[in-house]
Amino acid sequence: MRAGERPEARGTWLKTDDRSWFEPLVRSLGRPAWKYAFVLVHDLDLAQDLVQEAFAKVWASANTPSEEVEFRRYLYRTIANLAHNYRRQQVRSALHPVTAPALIDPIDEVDRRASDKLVRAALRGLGGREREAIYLRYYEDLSFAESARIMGAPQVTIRVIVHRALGKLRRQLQANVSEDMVAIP
Amino acid sequence: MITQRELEGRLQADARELDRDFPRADKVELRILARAAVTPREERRRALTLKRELALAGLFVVTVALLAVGVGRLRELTHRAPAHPTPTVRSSPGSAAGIPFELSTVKMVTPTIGWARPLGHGIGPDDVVYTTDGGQHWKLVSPPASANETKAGTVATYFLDARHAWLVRSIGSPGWWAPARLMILRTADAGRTWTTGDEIPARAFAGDGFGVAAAVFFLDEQRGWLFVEVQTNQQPVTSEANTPPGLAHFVAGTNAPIPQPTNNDRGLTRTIYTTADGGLHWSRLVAAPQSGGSVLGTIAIGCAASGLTFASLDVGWLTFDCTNNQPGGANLPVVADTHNGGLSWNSLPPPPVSGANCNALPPTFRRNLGVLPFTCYNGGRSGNYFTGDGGLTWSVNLLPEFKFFSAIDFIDAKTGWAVDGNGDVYHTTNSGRNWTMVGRLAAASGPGQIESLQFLDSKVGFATKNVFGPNYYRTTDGGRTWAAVQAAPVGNQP
Repeated sequence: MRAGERPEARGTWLKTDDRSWFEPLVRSLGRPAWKYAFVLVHDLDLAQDLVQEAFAKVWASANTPSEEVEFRRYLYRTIANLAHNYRRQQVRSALHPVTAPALIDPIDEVDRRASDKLVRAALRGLGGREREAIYLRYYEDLSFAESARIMGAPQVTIRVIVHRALGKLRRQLQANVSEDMVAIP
Repeated sequence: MITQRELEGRLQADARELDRDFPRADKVELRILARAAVTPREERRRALTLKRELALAGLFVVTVALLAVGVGRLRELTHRAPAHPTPTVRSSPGSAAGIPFELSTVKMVTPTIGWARPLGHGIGPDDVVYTTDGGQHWKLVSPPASANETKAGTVATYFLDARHAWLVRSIGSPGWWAPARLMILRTADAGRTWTTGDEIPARAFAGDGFGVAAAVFFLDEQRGWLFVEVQTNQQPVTSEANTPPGLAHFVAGTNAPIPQPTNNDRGLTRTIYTTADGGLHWSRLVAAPQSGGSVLGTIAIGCAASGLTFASLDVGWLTFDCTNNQPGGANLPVVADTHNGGLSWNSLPPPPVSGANCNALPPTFRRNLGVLPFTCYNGGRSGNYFTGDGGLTWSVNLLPEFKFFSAIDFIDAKTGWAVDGNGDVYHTTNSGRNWTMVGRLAAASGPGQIESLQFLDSKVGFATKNVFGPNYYRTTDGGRTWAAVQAAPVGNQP
């Protein structure tokens, strides 16, 4: 049974020992959530840890909503909070270590294959909330209304954050273009 | 210079690249599931004993029986009422009890009684909360949930007093942010019951889905106006010039013929509706397609409506928030006014901040004195329009450069407060010509900023901050000192 088909509406709570609802959500949201975490922390392994920690938290919480849209908001806000904690150098010790198999460093791979390294580099220069807003808006193609609900802020605030972030990106990209330009005598 | 459209295109291309190149998550998913398999879930309630279970079961049966009787009685009552509109009784939002939440769109109507929109996990897009103890405790007073909540949500609210409030609910596809129609709900008993008014046809909001292009205002319990901005090829559109005087040209929700769309109807259309019966029935006052060239149809395109305000049956203002800068929001007029009840509109000159994207806030009036604040990004300046002749002519007070208020509120045309990004609280008694720092809202420092400020009188005021968790503050000495209001989680309506 898909989570979205569950009869419970928002605000209802999952049964304590029922794990059948959880796997479809992990399957459908695992990779998007990993990408979201990756954009926030720029470290694939750490992003993986954050996502696992976030899923564990929402699994363990009795307040986790069952409906998929609300579950994703809950999950994404948990990831954002963990990323915020990480940035404050407080999260690493709290994370449960997971033995991951050796992987090709996807950052290198993605950057190697990315057609627009400048955009990726400029994104890394944004603040945490700005990266969240830009990612939700342009990478997950969410409306401002939906982004606002995930980020827990009014739409006008999200629009301001995005507006300022776009301004920073434009300035950063423009600066890079200027640096690349060579004066022709 | 890289244009915004070009930058957005590059971001979207990068999103596709990231999705294409990002590793599969099969192993991550397995680890998550493995961890869940060994992680116990929190108990939401204490384990029930057999005796308690039996007692609760008995209580449940009695409650259901009482509810059945109550519902039957209610149906009897409602069936005696006119068929349209249908009074509705809210369902119990008990499921939301105990949810941590933040507050948004707070409107206190007395020092102790107020309304707000909550934000947080499990909070629905059309939830409303109500306090009777100055914000210490809030209870859900939402209207009954829509059948499919992902398709519906509130896009505009107006809280008139302790009993009367209106919600504009959008119902759409694929979601509430892209409505197919708008439904106006009204309560006259502080949210205990909600009445459904006319439905108004709509199509996806303009502005690429990034704003709530709707605003509603009530002058009193009966007389109200609704502003709707739609991007349409189906909404009936009549140019402003063709709209017959005397209104009643189109009454939403009735059997009045709806003109079929034509190719000429495509594009952005702004419509003003009005009601004289508290929002049960709405008449279209004027429809202004962008292509028609009228002020209403062309002002602040791409911006979100920040408010619709009327000082009388004739004089009103539409204010816009152009800080999203799409498209080219700089140096745009952000205020339109009407002197004939909304039939025609004029624009005020844009705030004199070069190259800035500005957000105008709804005006405050006392007799002929009025003040209309604005804040401008890019230029980083705040200020206000003010009038001494009932809005016929306006002047501008502009704060010094780099002084930027994140929230402003006036209790009358002369007396107001503002908060800057550092949390410094300023006070004016001369319509914004001079501001004096009176205190500091220490909580304003750190992440986020104060996004709303509301004073009820010269002493009592409230502020909200756009951060996770508790975000509500109160002053009782005119802004000199502030205390966080430790709001309890949303609870059931008694």
